[in-house]
Amino acid sequence: MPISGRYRAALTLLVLPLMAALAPVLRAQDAAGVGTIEGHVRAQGTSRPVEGAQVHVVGANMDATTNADGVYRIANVPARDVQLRIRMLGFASVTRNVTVQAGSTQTVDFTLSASAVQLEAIVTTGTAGATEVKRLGNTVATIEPPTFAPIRTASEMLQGREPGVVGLSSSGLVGEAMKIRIRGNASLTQSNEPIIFVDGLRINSSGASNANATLSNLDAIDPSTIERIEILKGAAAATLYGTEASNGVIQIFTKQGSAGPPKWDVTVSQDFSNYPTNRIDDNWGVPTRAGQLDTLKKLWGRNDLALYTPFSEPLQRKYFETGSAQTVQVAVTGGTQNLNYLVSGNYSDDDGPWAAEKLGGLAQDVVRRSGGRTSVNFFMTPKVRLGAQATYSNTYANRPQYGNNIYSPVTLLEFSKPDLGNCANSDPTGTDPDFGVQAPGVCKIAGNPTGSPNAFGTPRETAQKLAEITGDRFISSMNLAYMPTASLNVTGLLGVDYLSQTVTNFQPFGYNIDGVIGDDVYGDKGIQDTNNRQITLDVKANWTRDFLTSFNSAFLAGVQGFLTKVKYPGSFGYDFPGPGISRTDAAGTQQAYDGILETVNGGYFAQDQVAYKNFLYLTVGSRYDYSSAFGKSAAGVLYPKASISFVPSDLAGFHVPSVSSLRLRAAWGKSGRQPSAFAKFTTFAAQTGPSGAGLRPDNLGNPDLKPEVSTEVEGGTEIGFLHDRIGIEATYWKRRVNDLLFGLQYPPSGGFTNAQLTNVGVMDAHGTELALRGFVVQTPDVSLEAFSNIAFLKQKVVSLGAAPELKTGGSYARIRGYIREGYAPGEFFGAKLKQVPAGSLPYDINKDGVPDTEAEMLAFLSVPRDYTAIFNGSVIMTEDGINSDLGKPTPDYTGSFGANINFAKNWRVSSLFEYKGGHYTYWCLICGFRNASPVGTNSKLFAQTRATLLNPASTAQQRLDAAKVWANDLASLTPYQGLNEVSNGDFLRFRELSVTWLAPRSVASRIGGRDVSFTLTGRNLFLWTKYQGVDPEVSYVGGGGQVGSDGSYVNENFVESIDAFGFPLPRRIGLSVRIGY
Amino acid sequence: MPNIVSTPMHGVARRLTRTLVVGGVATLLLGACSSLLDVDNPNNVTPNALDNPTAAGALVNGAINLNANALSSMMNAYNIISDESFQTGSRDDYRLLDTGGLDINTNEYLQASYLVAMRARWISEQAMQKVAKFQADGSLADPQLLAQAYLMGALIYDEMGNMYDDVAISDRTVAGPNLGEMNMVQVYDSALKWLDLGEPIATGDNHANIVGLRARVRFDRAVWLMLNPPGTTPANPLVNDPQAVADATQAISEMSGDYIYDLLVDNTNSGDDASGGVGFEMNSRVEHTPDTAAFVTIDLTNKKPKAIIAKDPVTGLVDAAAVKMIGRFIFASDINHPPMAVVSKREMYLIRAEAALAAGDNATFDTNINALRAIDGKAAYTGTGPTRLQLLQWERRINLVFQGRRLNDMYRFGIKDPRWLSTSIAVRKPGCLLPIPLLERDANTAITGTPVCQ
Repeated sequence: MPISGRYRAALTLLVLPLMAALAPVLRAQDAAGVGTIEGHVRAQGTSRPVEGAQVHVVGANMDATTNADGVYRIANVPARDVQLRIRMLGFASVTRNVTVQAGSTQTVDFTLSASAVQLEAIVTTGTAGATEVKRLGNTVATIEPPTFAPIRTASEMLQGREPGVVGLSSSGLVGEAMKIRIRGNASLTQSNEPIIFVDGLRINSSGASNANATLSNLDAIDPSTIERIEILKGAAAATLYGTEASNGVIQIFTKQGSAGPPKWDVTVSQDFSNYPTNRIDDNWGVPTRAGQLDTLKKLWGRNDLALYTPFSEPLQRKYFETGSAQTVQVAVTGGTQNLNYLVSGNYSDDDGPWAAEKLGGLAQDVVRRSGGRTSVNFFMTPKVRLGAQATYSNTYANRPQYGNNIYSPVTLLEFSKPDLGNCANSDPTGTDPDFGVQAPGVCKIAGNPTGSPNAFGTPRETAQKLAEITGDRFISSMNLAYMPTASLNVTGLLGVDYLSQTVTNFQPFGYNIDGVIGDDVYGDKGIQDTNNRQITLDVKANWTRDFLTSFNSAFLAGVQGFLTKVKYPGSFGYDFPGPGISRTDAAGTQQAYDGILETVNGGYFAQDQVAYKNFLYLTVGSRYDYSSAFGKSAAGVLYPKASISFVPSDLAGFHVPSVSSLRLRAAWGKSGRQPSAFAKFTTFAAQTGPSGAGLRPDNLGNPDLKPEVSTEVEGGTEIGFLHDRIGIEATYWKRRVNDLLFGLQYPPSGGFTNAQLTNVGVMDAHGTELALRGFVVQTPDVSLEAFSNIAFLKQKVVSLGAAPELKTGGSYARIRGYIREGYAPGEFFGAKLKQVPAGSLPYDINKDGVPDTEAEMLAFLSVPRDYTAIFNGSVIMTEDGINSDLGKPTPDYTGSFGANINFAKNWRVSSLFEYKGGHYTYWCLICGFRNASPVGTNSKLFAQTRATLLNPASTAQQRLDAAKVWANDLASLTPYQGLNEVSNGDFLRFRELSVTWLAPRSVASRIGGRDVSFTLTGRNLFLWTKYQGVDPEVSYVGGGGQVGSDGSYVNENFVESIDAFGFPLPRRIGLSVRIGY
Repeated sequence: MPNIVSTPMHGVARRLTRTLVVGGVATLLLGACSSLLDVDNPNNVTPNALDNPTAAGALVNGAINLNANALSSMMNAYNIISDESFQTGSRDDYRLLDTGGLDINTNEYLQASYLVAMRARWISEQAMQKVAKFQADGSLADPQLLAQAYLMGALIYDEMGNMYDDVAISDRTVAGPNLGEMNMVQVYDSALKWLDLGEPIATGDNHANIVGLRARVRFDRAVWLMLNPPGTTPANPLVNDPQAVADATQAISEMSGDYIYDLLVDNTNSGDDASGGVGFEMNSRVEHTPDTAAFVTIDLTNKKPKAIIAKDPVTGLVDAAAVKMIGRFIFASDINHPPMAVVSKREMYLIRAEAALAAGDNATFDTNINALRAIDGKAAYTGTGPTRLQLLQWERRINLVFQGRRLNDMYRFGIKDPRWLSTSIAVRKPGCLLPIPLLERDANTAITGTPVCQ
């Protein structure tokens, strides 16, 4: 494929300056003698070897990583006095001066002390190159992947580990994409996902969706390849990333090779999962007719059924099983001091706990991922390092139709009413004495045994539908680091993330095997390809120098660009000529789709960080950004930043009792979020039809459109006590987003009915993040590390300008979150039961506008009534229609706590609990359906209430009591949306547990291994909540699952606390074996 | 100060620095090149392209296709209000409509229909204006495109009058006021104006369609005047508009056989709103089902129609007209996209028959009603059996089924759907139609007044 001029230009941007810089260097390589440094690294207190510690020769591109024995070795070190620095997350860094002699080996051992404060840890994201944390006025969170935790995806690695960083689980469907939120929502209509980089390369982290089941592209990254993750939480830290960084930046650093003979690491895991059925109500029904009763007795094989007596069947549990997942990860690393490599491969096969095979269709619940990664670092000279990474991954997902979807077998099972079950289609003449029933709950040929809502289909029919997502992804980058002097560092990166993804839907010819479903019964198939190519170019130079006597400057300047091109061809066809065909071009009616989306974002940035001595640091910087979204002639946008960091504990003579470290910091910065690619322009879209190709109004356009700009200020402190065995980190932040991009609805009567992105208003947010970590016990036999964090969040839509409020969920009446001035974004508004005087009920059956008295209701209920009589016609009285404030969908606080324990030399136990709470409202849509919708109404309480209302043997008083239950606990949905649907969503979840036995070296060596460990893991083991639904982490839509046709992310952003037809998070138990050779 | 070692620059470093500076400047200059931002996105059409005469076809086709879409979406909300169909699915807002609660301005199907209708109105007016300009410029290759543009403009205005209590007429971002519930007759007047402009241009079927639609618009206008202000059932529900009769007579002379001008919705047109269109919602998703009292029997397993049972009140036999007209909607070859009738010879006979009945001319009524019945081979009506008024109502019901006429017929003939709640607006104020949705009211500051129908 020829390289376009644009990409040639991009390549030139990277290569020219670097090659120009390299040329003289390659001629002037240092010819002096070299030596070797090696040694052991152990932890103070426990004396255990420290694996993974970074040993670095200061001022040179020379590093080594300690192995499982805590051993490191660096060869070819210039024979002179050098500084050797060792860093390891969780430990205080140590620096030693070493004199290297040519041809000899120096042994330098280190003892690292655990440190709960990480002021000297090195971070590189959003900074002037590699920088110590203490030099930055903003927070840069670092997550080190827990070695033995029950983590199967990169998303899970982010969940619950850092205050203010939240992983929204979405639901318990296998592979369902998690949404990542950092400090809440910095945009109303644009994606609130942080942008994600892998080793400096920006990747496509959007999700994919098929039939309402979503899949994370972030999770295509093998978590075992991740060395650490750095997180910029907001504009104050992410300014240098410019437009699109206002929701934060996540940078994943992958493991790199280490010198030495080949070392193999193999991990094999087996997980089992199941759904917590104790929170899932069985399906209930009430026989109300004699003939129906006879049929039901036969259908369910139950003679205990009786008229007006509720009964239940475990229709959902029947289709649960124990899920099984296998994972194999293999990595080998080695090399010389000049060239090292790491090659890894992974395969995982996750068959979730939904028993798809019992329905016999094409739908399954499996996600398979496989891939490989290669990383090579070539230290051309002590001053030049060339690195190359390449990752390939393949993803296959086959999940059922899902979520709020009437063609989902999962939904239809949730809807099913056992009192409506029948096998009539197996007995069309009505003469079979068995009523067409073959066995309890099973029809002889066809039928609707579960009693799913008749019009939509049976679970068996909808399970015939295939919904696949397949993806091939190639991520590759090349980076060059050149350090001509100890004070000058130039780096460049050019990389590409290419994702080819295919979403396929197929329903076979004649899939209506029960004779119920009516949608395209001659079959249909849709294919949607997405070819997403994202190129990253990043060149920057970092120049450090001392000036005057006590000052130091670190100056950074660079250019960064992202070129994205997405092509999305597709086809659809329906009405196949016969069974067995699954090609769109074989269908009677065929359509083709096509589209291209190209965007270019880029900018220049510069920053200077000035240090005074070793305790005061001031940073100023800015980025000037361009985006193709505003046209080629549009001006750029400037995003400035400033920060200050003061470390009193580094002052000579600092002494505060028990306080070993103290830092104060403050930062201010701006970042942005650009609108979607065409939002600025007026466009007409194709409107095809039998009369020929036509045009229709599409995008209204807004020539004044600009990015929304997030301004954030934060201040905080880190305090270490007792030689940093206990550490506290506290941050307060405040954010204002101006020029909010809002889907302004102009009058639809103007012809352009899509909302138009417009900069309209202001949204404020502030929060506090606290983290506490302590090494409570540290002895050779036992160590205990405990941690806890909490993040508070308040958000408010301050102004929408002249724009009207916006309802989330579009026209879908059952979702009533609102973007409304003065409220949290997504605040729920709906029906609240009217408060009535004693002796009255919140009913107005006689429509006199006055609450009916109990006497009036008793008279009305003196005869049997169905529930519709006290539902239809707006007879239930509410306080303010459906406009009462019902609460907000985001919790006041989120957090986690846990502990890591080492004992008996070879045992480790780690735990993590996660919680959310505080004015946290969860909207249970499925509860509304199961309690009050004609197609649901299968909850136990509903069945009992209806039976009482209908039973001729009930007294009027009993019916009155039932009517009270109906109004107070059950009545929901239109015209009372919100009534009895919202409840407290606070929860505490036992998220992770792992118990590891590290085999003694003697045991490992018996099987030829270097080290061996066995880990028993558990995930989502217990849930404590008062939430009325199955799980307060089940969301209406998963990550990347609901982007509007106008590119709006309103629903993606603000329907997260709506529970609709999802599986609860499964409990997962697993066993991992790790062997190193 | 940790890890920073100041090293004097030597010659190589100075050269390096110079190189880097030059490289950096080059980088900045290259980065500033606007060509990087000149991206290629060939997905849509820009506004100035519509001023090109070659866009005439695309404009008119856009109007036709959007009108088809609008009809599908409007019928989806409308049919279920009347006794033509009833709710069988899961969506609560259908239940509101089914029980006569059509005044709720947040109803998602009202909103969906309104959005598509407004899009169709705007593009139809654009088509009329721009194609007329092409015609005036002498750059219009096919004058029939202009005739079709007028036809579409008139159609959507007529449908707006039949479906909505009130509408606003805006242009892009410029909010326009609502016409007002008592002024909606203006939409029929506008439709007639455009049909008058189109009639001299049109030839062939286009001419028959324009004249036929003009008859229909005149008839619909008379019905609107009869039912407004809403709240009472008219004492004399029959329409006798001489101009409508004249147009109907002219149209009949130009329409051969069982002439029906349909708009066809294809798969890319459905799903363009909150629903999948009336065909999908009725025939695939089965959110609503044809009336089982008069029209069809249904399969209790899937609630889909099994057979058409509508009985001809004259013969007592299954009505062949019902079999055809209901059947083509619910048993269409593409059930998700049944044809949307705009003008039919059947309706022309009905307009003439009703006028005759209103005038007390039974012979002319019989002539026209029997001409209509003859289309389907039904036995002639001789005055025995049902009254002429009953027969007229029946023939309108089945010959215009699912075409958006039934609710107004129910209002003017005093018929109540048994599913309507006694407290519903449909019962309390006959004549009330769908309101301006809240979405428009919130967005349009030019809208004034409080709806009468609430």
